[in-house]
Amino acid sequence: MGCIVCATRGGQGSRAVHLRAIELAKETDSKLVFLYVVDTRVIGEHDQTLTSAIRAEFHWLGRALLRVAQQRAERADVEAEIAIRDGEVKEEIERFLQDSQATRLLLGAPRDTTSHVFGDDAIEQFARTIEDDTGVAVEVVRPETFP
Amino acid sequence: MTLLTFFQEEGIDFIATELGFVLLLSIAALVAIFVRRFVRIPYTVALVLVGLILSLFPDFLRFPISSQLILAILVPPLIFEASLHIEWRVLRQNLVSILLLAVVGVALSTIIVGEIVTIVLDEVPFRASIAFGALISATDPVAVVAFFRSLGVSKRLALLVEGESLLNDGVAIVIFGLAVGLIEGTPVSGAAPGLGPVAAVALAFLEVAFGGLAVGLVLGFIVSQIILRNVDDPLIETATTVALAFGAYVVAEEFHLSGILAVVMAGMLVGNIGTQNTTPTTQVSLDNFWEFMAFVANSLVFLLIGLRIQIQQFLEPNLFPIFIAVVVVLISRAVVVYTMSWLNNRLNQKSPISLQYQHVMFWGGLRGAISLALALTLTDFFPVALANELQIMTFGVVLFTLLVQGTTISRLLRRLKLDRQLGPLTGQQRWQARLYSTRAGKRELDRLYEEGILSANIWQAMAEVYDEQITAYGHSLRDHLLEYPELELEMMLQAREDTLRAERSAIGEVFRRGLVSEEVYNELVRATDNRTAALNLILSERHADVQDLSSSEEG
Repeated sequence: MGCIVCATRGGQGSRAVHLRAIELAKETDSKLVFLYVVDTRVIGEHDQTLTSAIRAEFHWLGRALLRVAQQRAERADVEAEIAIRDGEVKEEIERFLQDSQATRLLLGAPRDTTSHVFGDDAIEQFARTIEDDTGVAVEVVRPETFP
Repeated sequence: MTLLTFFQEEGIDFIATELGFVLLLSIAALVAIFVRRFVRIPYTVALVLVGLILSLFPDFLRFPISSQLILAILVPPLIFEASLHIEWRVLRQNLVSILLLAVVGVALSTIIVGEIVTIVLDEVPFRASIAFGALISATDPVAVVAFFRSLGVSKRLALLVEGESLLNDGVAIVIFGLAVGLIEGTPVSGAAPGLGPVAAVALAFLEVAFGGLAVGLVLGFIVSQIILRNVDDPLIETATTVALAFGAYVVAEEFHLSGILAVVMAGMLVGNIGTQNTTPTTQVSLDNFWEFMAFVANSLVFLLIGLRIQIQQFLEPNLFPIFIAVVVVLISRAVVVYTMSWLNNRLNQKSPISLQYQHVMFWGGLRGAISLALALTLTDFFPVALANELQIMTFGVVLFTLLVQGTTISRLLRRLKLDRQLGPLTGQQRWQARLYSTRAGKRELDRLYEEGILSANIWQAMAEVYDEQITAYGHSLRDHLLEYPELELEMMLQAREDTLRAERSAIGEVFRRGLVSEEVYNELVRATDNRTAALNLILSERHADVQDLSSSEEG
């Protein structure tokens, strides 16, 4: 039985990537894990006394977001696990893929902005780098292609 | 200068003045209520319109609307509050573009306006047209910040426009001061002898601008690193920032330096360093206080703009100069925005300014309080007839930018598809509010029935209609969330803000009921305030421009 990891952070592509992951888990009878990575560095310079509160708040929000994804899976009769990791997003996703012996990673892309804004489509580059580093197949799900 | 001595020096009756301010604040509050409930025009525009109507009654205010009142009393709190929210990290990324627009742009615009005005309007000499060019070239932070905050544009676009408007005032005031100084026969105060006029002007500009920044830096540093770091009392800390906002302005002006740039620098230091040295409780207290100060000053400024401009002035023979002024200001703004953006995109390829942003920056270049305040001083330097003509031209431009550009910019944003964050969120709020209010109606209906006021058959009939409505609104909200899944997170963050507030209030409740000691209460309040501050940081980061997301995965 394979393992599908769906990395999520509640953006525009979140619903599409959740549904695609649930569909894929059902089709392939794979284990499904929704992953949320807490990277407090995105906050930039801040009062150091707030660091632990920021991490705690990210964890709180992450748990709530993952519960939304898990409920979607439950409604589709798919059992899903949830996981939260701390650290740099790419490193933590790669580490989690190895730890969980994942067979596929799913990432969501924002609605019709990525390729226009970044030109070379940063989300695709991000996906290809993870694929090259880990050997795990990475699928980018766009809201337009999976409404 | 204290408020009282200011009034005494101006020969004004203090009680009458106080009454005037009370009236203005009451009118502002009524306008705010009216705008929120009945009309869909920006609050600031409504204030100007009401001010224009009130200007028909010349004795309405018993004190003069002087440039000192606007510049020394109303502008510092507005500039300070706006500067508090400028993140140095984000400013640094966009500094090249902002400086190009604020420094080179204002100088270029002054020359364009000055040249064209003096060519087209024979009666305006070159020096007067340069003074007019300087006072009208700077976009106004008060107007710009007020408008852009209400529009919900991306953080970067807001920073570009706000940053430019905050920094260019200092530049415009310096050029204006130099222009009127030249007329008085004192080319540049304190300039080294032997320098050519251009070098002398540049030197004076550097002296005034950097001097102002230095004053703000020193005073801002003292408050941020010494007082805010060592004092742990929200009231004292907030009071200190008030002294800083006005003090930086007064000290810089006393030394003939840029008071506005001093306030900008002081505000940025408190916003970026000072708040990190305070407790989250003080941060909340500072935010609330300065939000209130900005609201009051903002309301007064826009009402006073309307009051100072008299509608009768917009008649022949003033129409032609006003028309010329508006056209020239639009031309110069277009030249500045498009050429400076082109230059920025060549020099600073990491942070290019898109063409869409450039269109918004062109049309969003509003003029307001600063132009008005500088125009009011023109009579000190020019013959009365000439000063009056330049003042009327200024009033015309200010009114055009506020009433025409200010009311159409949201349409431009929609056309350029730059209001995308606002649309879905407004939709969500609409359905949520309908659902919430309909459920409240249904609860009231049930109460009336339970208390025997309504008969069973009427209650049942009405309840069925209510249930249908609730189901329909629920479906609409669900469909909306399916279309915009990112709103799920928005709802979650909103709810989290509310629940944290409820948690804090509950801690206060258990303390008031004597269930916990003061030590435990303080500890819990601190922890909850930290969580709230953390959530605010997450929210502000989340609202960052989509262009900043290049290093992270979406979904």
